[in-house]
Amino acid sequence: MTSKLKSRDKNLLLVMMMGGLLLLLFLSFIHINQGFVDVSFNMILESFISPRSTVEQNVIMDLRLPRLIMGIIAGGVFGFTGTLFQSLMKNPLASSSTLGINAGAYFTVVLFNIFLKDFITGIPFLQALIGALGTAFIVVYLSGGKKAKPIQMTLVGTALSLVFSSITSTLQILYEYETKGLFLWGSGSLMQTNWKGITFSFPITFICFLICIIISPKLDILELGNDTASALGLNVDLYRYTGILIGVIATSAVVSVVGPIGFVGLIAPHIIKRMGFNKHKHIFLLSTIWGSVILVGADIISRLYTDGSYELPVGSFTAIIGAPWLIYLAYKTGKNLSNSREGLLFQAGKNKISYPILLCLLSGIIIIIFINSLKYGGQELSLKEIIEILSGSGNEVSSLIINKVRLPRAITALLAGIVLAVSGLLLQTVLNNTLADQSTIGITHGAGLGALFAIYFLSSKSIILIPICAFVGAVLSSLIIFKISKISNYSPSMLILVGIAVNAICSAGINIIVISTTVGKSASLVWLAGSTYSSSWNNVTVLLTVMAVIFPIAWILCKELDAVMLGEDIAIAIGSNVTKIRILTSIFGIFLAAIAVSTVGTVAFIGLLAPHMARFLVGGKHQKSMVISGLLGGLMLLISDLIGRVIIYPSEIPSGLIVSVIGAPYFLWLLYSTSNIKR
Amino acid sequence: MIPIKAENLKLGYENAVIIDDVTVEIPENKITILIGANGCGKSTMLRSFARLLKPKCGEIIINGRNISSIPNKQISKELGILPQSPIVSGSLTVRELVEMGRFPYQTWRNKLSDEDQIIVNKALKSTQMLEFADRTLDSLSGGQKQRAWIAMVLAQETDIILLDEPTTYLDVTYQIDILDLLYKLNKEEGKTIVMVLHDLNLSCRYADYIIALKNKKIYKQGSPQEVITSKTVKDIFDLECEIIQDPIYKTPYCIPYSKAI
Repeated sequence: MTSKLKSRDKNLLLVMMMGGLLLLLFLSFIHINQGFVDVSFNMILESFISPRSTVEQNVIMDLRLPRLIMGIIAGGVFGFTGTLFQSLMKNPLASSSTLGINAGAYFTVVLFNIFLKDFITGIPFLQALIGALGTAFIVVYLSGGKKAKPIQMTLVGTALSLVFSSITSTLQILYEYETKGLFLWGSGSLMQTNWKGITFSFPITFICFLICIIISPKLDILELGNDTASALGLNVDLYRYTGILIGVIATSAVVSVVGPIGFVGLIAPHIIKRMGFNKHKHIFLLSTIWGSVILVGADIISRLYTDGSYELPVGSFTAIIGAPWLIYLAYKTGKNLSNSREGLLFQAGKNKISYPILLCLLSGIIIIIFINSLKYGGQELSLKEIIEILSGSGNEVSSLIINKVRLPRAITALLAGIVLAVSGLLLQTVLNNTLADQSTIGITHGAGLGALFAIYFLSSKSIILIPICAFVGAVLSSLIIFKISKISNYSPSMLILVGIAVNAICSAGINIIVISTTVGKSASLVWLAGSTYSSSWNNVTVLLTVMAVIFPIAWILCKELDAVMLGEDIAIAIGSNVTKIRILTSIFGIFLAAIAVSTVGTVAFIGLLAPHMARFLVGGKHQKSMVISGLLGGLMLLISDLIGRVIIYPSEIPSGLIVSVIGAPYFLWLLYSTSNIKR
Repeated sequence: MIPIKAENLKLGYENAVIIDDVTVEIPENKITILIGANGCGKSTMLRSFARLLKPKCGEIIINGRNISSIPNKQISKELGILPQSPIVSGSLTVRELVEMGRFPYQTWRNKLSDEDQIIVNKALKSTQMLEFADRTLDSLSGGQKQRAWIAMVLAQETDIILLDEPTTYLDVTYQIDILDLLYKLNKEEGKTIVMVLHDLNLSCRYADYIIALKNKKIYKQGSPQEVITSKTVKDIFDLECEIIQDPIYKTPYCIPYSKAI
């Protein structure tokens, strides 16, 4: 019986290896034939056997072959490092993209490009390595180290990616010239113009691969669990950390050449594992081969849609292929996720400030900042002038500035901040996780895609159409997420997983649109980063109407959310209709967020941080924390708007980015503290 | 009236059947304890009594009405359940938690009335948690935390209380502590208590009625003296044992035989 089983396994292994290699060869042939100069098979052979300097041969030798080989190397590396991360972190969702390693590497590369340009000679390997290692360390540490749960680690990874990519976008807007070439690289592209990338990355990654194969029997033991492995005499920490180190080095080596390409590292190992392979040696070999197949295949697809004047990032295509896979995976495992008995775990401060005092304090600060928002800008106005203008007198130019520009803008920032924060509070309780926010359930990216759709395809600059499309995009993407998550009875982990996948598809779409069109790149980046720039009284009306209708309902729901917060079992036991309340709250939460996002663009973090701060200040009761988090959110966006407007006048930094930069330190602390929340 | 009655109950998850065609009545004003081997469906049955799990087939009747026809909040006024080791944020204070027990009595706008406050205080008092009322949950010991949860269930003022392994993970001192508390509630306030318990000897001491489960069915039910025999233990746990009389409490006492010594 055993020997029979073994021979069957052996056959499957052989089939998968040979099949993969053959497929790779076949795809390579197609790949090399793609492009504007036709080449025949003979020509390809010829350029190997008797190299001459014809145009065709130069194209093959200097452009196409390097690109193909780089694709094979990168795909393979993503494949085996994916396996490595998944095994070492005991996390089926781990890969360089979900762990935030890619975003971290991108961030440091951009940073060096701007501030320490002299250090970059050729390939930014060291820079990428610093970012990648740093991020890997932070993610593992913040999500609770060895005891980290897969979902928590993935959330920390994606949240950290969000921090890095928003700071990266700030830098890209501020230093448009210095970072000009980095956008394509930043979304992952295999384009090569010489052999440098290959001669650089191949030796490093090959050594890493060999080490992986050598330590693979140890990883099989590690699979039994840390305690058992130690009991069997394995130096667990040694293998864990060298493994992660190798994975990060190999990833950085390819990322520094081709940019962050997501999802290959997630799909390849999963396909192999699902086929029943469980020895790491086999998984490494096969996921390397199939990783290459996937990446080369994705590159072929990405090149089908170019006309030579631009290059679509292959990273976006791997996301489009890989994200449905992630959804499928979530779907398969989702049924088991449904029975989570935990309530919402949040942290409250030890010494609570009394609620009325807090209310007065926040309102006071908001009024002060609001007045300053009216005061400062291109032309500084005195307090006396402002009062004059608001009461109807005052000179014409100044009153124009106040009434048409500063006032609607400040009010929009305040209201949008409030709406975002309240929606964040509702969503966090529904998703049962204080690390969730609008971006978790696809709203921000969906809205971004919708808005870009309006800008480019409907070539619209109208103030009406862009928000409408953004709104539709937001609602659609979150509907998809909720529809799929229905299977697990809207379990939080499921929502988060599917959210990550849908977000990936949306941002791939955004990248493709931004890159494939040449006009208005910076403008759309600004919109995507979230801006209060062109706020008008229209926005104020929309936001006020929505608040007037929805906030009273949200207020009533908050009472019920106090029960939902205790976890599904307890909530039902004390008489709450959990599922109904969850659906209702989600609908209103999504609606609020979609409205806010369609008026001010994708402002991240407010929906995450404000509710958290509010809970910290006033505890778990939702009606109290709704008020406080609303005020905090409004305050945050108001301050960010003011800073973004005056700091580099006459240019502007999008307020959404200021929020991220201000919020990042608090956020890191938050991640740290949630990892060791007491129950 | 019979507090809980199940008719032709069939329970399970996905395709697995865990309880099959069981009909049972829980006696009023008594302590009923469910026993059985791991995975025999004790907790599943308890959860279905509290509508935390929908039956695949059959009916559950609470105080004479079908559970599916009673509004959720109404059930919460008649039946309280403490699920197995619930996890909530440790930042909640004991009082905040116990106040949640008044949830079924509140409409969307009103705050806790004076009457609610009195009931909350009473629940805190009878669980001896009054002095810890303003402490946060994460500052409590395991036994205190469990008492806080029981106080929350008490604040619901239900005549029926279900508990899923209320003594798991507790030191033996706390185990006795919790069981004594439940015993007092039963004797002094006439609460009908149904719980799942692992310890056979403690079950015999505290239970008026024992229901033993095996193979998706009820193996035997009745008073501890009727149910706990060496044959029952052999059949449901596959364990050879001697049943003697507890010298102090005069209830059945199980001494398992070892196969090695």
